[in-house]
Amino acid sequence: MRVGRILLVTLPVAGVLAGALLLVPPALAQVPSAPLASDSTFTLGARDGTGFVSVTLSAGWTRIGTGPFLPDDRATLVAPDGVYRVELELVPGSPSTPDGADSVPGQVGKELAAVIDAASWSTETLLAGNEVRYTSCPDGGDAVTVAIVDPPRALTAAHGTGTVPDDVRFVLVASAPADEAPRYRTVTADLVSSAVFSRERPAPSPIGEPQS
Amino acid sequence: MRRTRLVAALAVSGLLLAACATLHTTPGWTPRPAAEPDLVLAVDAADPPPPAVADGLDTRLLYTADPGAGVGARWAEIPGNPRFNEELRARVKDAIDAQAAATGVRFRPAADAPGGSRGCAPGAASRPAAEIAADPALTPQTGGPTVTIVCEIAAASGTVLAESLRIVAAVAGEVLTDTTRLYYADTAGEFLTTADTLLTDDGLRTLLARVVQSLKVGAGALEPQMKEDPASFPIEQLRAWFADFSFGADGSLTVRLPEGFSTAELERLADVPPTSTVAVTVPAADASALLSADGKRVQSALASGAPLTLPTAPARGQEDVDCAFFACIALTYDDGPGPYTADVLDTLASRRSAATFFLQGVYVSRYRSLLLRMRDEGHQLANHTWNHPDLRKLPAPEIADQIARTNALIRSITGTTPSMFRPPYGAYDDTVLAAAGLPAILWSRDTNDWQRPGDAALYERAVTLAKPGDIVLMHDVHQSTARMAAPIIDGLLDRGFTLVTVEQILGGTPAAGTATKR
Repeated sequence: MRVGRILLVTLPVAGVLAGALLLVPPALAQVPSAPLASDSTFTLGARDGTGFVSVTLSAGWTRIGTGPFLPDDRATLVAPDGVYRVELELVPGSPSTPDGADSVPGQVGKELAAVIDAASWSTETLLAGNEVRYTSCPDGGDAVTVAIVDPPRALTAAHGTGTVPDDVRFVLVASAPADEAPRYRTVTADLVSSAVFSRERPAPSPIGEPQS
Repeated sequence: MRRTRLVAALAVSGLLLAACATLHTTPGWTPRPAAEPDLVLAVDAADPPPPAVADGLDTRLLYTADPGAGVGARWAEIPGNPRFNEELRARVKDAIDAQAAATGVRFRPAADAPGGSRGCAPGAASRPAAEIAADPALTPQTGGPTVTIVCEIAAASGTVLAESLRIVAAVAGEVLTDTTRLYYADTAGEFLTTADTLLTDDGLRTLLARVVQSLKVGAGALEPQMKEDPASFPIEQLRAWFADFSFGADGSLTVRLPEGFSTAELERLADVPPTSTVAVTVPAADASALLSADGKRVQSALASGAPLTLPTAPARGQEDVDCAFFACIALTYDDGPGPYTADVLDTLASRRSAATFFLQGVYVSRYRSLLLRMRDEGHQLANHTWNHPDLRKLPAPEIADQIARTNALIRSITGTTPSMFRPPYGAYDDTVLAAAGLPAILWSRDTNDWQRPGDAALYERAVTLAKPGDIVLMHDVHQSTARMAAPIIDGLLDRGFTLVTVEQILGGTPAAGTATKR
């Protein structure tokens, strides 16, 4: 009888707790954080800790998601005007794959595989040395730009000895309403151009750490 | 129990937060503006600029339908600019000589052109070479080796003329070589250069960087600035890429990119349009920085928008004409001057052509001003006796008087003394030749225009049957002859003849007491 009473009390509590554990992280992942108060760097770290990438954001950018459950290697950000949304992901992989011959790595790539299947890809070597392969394609009413950024080859040549990892790739999937997308190309360009790869987690800036 | 409530409260709070949280935006924030292209980029703008207007040029035509070595050459010279003319003519001669050397067939001027057109043509510089080789108006369709030279006036304003000279060598219509050179000339002869000198080396490199930047902007590149070092490109490569350009009326520079233009970084972009359809325009102010001193002069002159001005030039009859190169023909008009002579002179003047007038002394005083025109417009004035007798029937002193009186009167009016005479009816003997004291000039082609054979017959005799070296007999005292002067002269020019004086076609004055063959 006593055991029954205990069960009667604890089972609902356990149910509530389990429900909270199941429902709260996804819910919190959709909650916008507070917008950045100043220009900052934003860092993603590879799951295995082998590398990091940082991008520079201006004041007003908002990360979608809050709380302790956000992944370290992925993030969704929204531009200060709320129109442009970008998913960032640091994924394992080698930049040695020939241009256009591979698929988009990472989770976002899988989600967009059908959309970008027939896309024409461009490749640029950026002033910072990063090499970026990118394409744009329609996705419903949006235009989606997918960019895959590889670390500077010159700095990754000495495997394992350089300060830049050679086994991670930075994937960016940006979307904006199709009719406004051309205006936001510079936003994508600035994100990609500002990407800095490192083996060590960079010193924190105002929001330099993943929000964990 | 308290802990349970706390967890529950947190969970509910989290869910409420998730439900109620909103995205805060920053009013007034806008994306950074995209980079503007350095140059105005026009896709599908392969059309050439509108044809330039260049009246008064001396259009030259050679057309020899020799199956062993066909030649069709047309180009425009600047009257009174020997430097320019010699440069172009040298290129034409070099091309013809090269064909002669290759075929072993010596060039002979023939005037075989089918007619209908002469001079430079819009689009000649860009038309497919195979089309040029297959066009009978431009190239003799002999089935053998041919060299075709065509020209296009690229620009003409103020004292600057831009002319493309294109040389196409072919065998049986199959193109072997195709070269084009664009000349820029000051019409008064102050400078002569080719298009490849108008842009400096640094200007070419700057242009490359700006073209690449503009194409990258158009292709949506993330970082549009050119990454490759323009100095790493061979300068000859840049000159070849940027050879097809023109100046706008506002001084801007428009460059039509060639098929195959690309750089390593452009090749990696998905959305670069085919460059053969792209033209880029450099604004006038920026274009100046790309130009050499000659380039700036050209830019300035063409931007003036002024009509082409040509220097004072000698008339055709005053030139040194090479009748071994040009198909010369000499039109001669007997029995004048008369009431229709002025019309003939007008026709000759508007077509930059020369003729020889065998004048009767008896009419000269009435038309003094026409004699001055003849002299000033480069025609040859010659003696046709005082009053047209059959000289064979006159004693020697009267023959001499017929000639001397006429010469004296012509000299008194024009200051020059005729050096040739034509015996009336072509009638002469040794006495006539001895008494006249001048060479007797007969003719090789008699149109019999005095019989009023009709326009078609007259045209056929004067044009269709004419051959290089002919001395053609006509009479400017007949209205029908004067009226037919324009179609006859046009017909001869369209065939490729150059109309010269008797003295020019004979290469000088024959010795006194001699007669040319009929």
